[in-house]
Amino acid sequence: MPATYEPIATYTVGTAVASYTVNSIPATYTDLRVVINAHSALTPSQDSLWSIKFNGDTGNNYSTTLIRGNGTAASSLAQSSTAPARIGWALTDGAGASYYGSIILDIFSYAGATYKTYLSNNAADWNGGGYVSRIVGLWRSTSAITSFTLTDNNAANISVGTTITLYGIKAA
Amino acid sequence: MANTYVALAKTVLTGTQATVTFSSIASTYTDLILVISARTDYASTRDNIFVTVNGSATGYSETYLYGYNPTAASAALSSQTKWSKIYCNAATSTSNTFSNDELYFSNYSGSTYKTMSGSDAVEGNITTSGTIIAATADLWQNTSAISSITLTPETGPNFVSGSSFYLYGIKNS
Repeated sequence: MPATYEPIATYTVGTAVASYTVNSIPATYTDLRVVINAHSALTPSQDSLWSIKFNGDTGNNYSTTLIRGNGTAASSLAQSSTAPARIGWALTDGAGASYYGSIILDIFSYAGATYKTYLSNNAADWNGGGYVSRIVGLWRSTSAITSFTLTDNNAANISVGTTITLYGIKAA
Repeated sequence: MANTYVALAKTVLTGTQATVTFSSIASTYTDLILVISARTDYASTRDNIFVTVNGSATGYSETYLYGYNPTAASAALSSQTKWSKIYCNAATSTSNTFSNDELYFSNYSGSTYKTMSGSDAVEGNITTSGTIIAATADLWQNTSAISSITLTPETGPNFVSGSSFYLYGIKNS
């Protein structure tokens, strides 16, 4: 039976870094799922927004629309013609070393010839606050995605122990 | 080739049942997904599902985002005895209608605190608060691997026939 949902690779951050890049993504699947257990070195804030760029593109070729709850209010935000693009909130040293946010990215038709859309499912609760969000992002490029780079919007390091797992989903 | 997305266990009800438990969950996967289609016998349009892990009654918290006509809001609960903001249909909701809930447990057997992401949909062709769509960020402040998951209605007292619960393991290699 052909495999439909396959692990491609898992990366575990071994040294705290300002950004983390995943390269050499094969073009042989239909969609990608990226599961991130996210922690950054920010203090004293307990959570921090992360972003993504594809194929090293630093141009203002990204846009996002999000809906989020912070435990107090629901809100929606949109950004257009920006770089990079939001993917959700990580938990930080401000919350504690054992706290990791969950960011699950579904990137649709990542190797196709159209603009690239992703959907982020994000959970980052630190017992007293946090964020839950759903984010749709668009990268206005017709190139296949071969790499992506993650960064913390507060310029904090991505912490040791953060994991990034890629799964390939094949339509046939 | 190794299986990546593996069906581990299921409970499909042919009668009423007050509690659904998945126990002896192997620690050999990376993540867990619990897919729920549920309805309870609570005499209302909507009920909540309480979720606990490993029989624990401490260390739960959640930040949640929800919408039901015409409200969109967010709230948070800290230092709880369970997760409680997973929603399902109840007895007076449109007949033959069950909720759609997916609970994603990331790194459930790792040595960090456990984060769960919930996505809930309760729809019944009505425009009142009996329907709801919600997203939850859930935390269990415990470094133990999750080895069991227990679900009970908040009010119920029972899940009804036709409710289904499917547990999957996701393996990253």
